[in-house]
Amino acid sequence: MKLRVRFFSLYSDVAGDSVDVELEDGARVKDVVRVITSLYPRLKELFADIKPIVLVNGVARNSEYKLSEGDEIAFIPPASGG
Amino acid sequence: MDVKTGVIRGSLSLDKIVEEVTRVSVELGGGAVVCFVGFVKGLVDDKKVFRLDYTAYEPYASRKLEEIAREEAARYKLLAVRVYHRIGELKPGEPTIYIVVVSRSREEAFEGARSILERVKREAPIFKLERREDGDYWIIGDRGRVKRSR
Repeated sequence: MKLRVRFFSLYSDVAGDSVDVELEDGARVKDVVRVITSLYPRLKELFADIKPIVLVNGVARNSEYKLSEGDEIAFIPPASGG
Repeated sequence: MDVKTGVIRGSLSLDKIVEEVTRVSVELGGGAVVCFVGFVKGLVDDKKVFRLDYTAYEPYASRKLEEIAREEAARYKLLAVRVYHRIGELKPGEPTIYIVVVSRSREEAFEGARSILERVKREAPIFKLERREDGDYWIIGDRGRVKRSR
């Protein structure tokens, strides 16, 4: 299945604004993390330093969350509005 | 309750917002307006700030602003709430966020406005990059500033 992955704030410096990935049906958030940290190795150390919040279609999900075709997965750091 | 929120690019007239919220709440017993306006600092850590670059994850940032405004309006019995957050490149002195609330009492208005602000800062997917004389810094929640490395 095809998924759109988006990056915000300091993560976008490493991985750009977005990337499309293709994973097997039944993939979970942790599988997306595995693929993008392989694509962008610097993300791995960045995620270890500043743990991202993972949003799936705008809702925070954990690493076991099961994804569906067309989902948008966003990696964001803690917010800094105001 | 009368709630309007948004992620915006331009500035707004605070006078017009106050006039509007007063008008919609006067017949409901409203008697207190509290306004909060955040603006870009010109000096941080003794370093000159050139500008802040704000980005938002839409449509979720707009939805979160509305959710926060409605929940806090119910919690503090606010009669009217306006929350507008700006994005884009903002220079020192330029407004970044407007929060205006109306209630029957000043206590609820002050507490409600503060609660909305704290939640927006923590929960809305809005991010800022501080561009200053000693480099660029991402501002990361409670952690503070992380120097841009690219």
